[in-house]
Amino acid sequence: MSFKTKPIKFLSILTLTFGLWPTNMAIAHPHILIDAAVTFHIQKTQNGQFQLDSLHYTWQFDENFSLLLLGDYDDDQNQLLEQQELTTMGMETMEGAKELLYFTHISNGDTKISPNDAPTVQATFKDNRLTLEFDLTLPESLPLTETFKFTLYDEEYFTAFFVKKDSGYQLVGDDIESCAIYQAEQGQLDSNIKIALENAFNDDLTNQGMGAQFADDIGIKCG
Amino acid sequence: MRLILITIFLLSATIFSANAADNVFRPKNTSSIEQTNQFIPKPLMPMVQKIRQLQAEYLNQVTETLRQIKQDEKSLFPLSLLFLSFLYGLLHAAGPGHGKAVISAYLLSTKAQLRQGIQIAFFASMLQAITAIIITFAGIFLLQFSVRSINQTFTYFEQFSYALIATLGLYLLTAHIIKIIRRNPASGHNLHDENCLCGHDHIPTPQPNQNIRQKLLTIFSIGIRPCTGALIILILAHGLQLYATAILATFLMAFGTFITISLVATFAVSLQNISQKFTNNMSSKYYTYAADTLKICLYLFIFSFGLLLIIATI
Repeated sequence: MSFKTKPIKFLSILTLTFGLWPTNMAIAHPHILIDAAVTFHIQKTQNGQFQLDSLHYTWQFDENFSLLLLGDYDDDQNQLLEQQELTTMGMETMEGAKELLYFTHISNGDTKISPNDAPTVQATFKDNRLTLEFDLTLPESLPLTETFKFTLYDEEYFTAFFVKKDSGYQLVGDDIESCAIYQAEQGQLDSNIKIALENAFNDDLTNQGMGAQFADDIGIKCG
Repeated sequence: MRLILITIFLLSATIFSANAADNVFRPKNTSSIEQTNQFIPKPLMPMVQKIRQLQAEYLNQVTETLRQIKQDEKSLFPLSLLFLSFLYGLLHAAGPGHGKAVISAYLLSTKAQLRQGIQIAFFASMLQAITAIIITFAGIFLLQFSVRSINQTFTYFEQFSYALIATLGLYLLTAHIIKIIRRNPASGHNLHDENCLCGHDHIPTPQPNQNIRQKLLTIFSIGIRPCTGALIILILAHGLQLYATAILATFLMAFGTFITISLVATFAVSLQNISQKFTNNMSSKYYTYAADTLKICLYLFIFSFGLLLIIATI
């Protein structure tokens, strides 16, 4: 009997796994792809400490998402965006990003820092790709210590950010030659982000770390 | 003909449906990752996350390759795009999805042979590619749709596909219940065929028209929903005006999907064969009861699966 039931069990499991799993989850890939560049504006204080003042972002959206927005904002349907249409598109897109704190996760030790709202945004549309450029200031300058960490990701992974490892992160400021960017182990959730995610999703643990797992944790070391 | 009319209606309906989302980064519809995650058993989350990461990397790779093709049209980049597309079809279909659920339930519950299962997988996969191409290019060139309207049309086709799945389940269920009623032992040997309870075997009576209807319904219910990956490549290609490469990539993606769905079909037919061998020793009365119960469960599964998917996309 056993030689007959084993293949049945085996094939049942295989068929159930491949075929009868009653969800359609595989379609849920990221829907927005952004090529991002981040510039950290650093200041050296009088007592020789280094601190982060602001960030400058360049977000270049993929053609698919850009064309999707083009259809929404091209009021005169001429397949071109006039300056007014472009400005409206940029501001309204940024409103969405603002609600999500610009996907920016900054922590210093146990403290999580939320950036201020971006006052302006510069939007351009070239080769069917939307590019947004904007500055984010912090509530107060942040001393760059060993516990400083920066990560750019969407918690839900609806949007995927791609930052070039060699040129995607830049440092700008006076007397910052001794400062360098380093990357923590990829996909490693630091305790702050983990706590924040646990608070955000409470009992629903399914989303925890979804975007963070694929993001680069960036640190800045000076001196 | 009815199918064509419904399709035209669905396409036309999308003209009035284009609305900008409140927050482009968080769509309201149920296909968002947060809502989809509710269906995923927690132990499987790491695997699903890995699939999503691979999908993100794949999409980025495809868009990058298309940009490179645009910059250097004489390069060999189309080959890498075609390879990537084939791979995507192969791997994307390996995840859970409506096509595999329907085909495996259908093959498990009918006396279909492996050859028929592979035929269904082939035509359904190719239909997915053709639907994606028609939605995208008819939307762009004939109906002058925006990309958002094309995406919306995709959703309508998705819902239509799920409605067909529910219809298939209902059709199979009804047909089988009618068969059971006609085979009522009270009527004795009035219906003396392979379904009778007379204690000896009969060769199944061929019913070609019914089989063709079932097969067509199965193929359409799977294939009318275009492949998401194909849609993305086609829209990206529209942005870069690389139509021929994108159409070829779409068909290769469908071919990859066909291979994976064929594997599922092979499993389903093997399982069906083994279960038949296993039940050979059972008395024909118990065999008939067991087979009827299994079939009714599978038809109910197809029906409720279709309904659940419709509800999830409304």
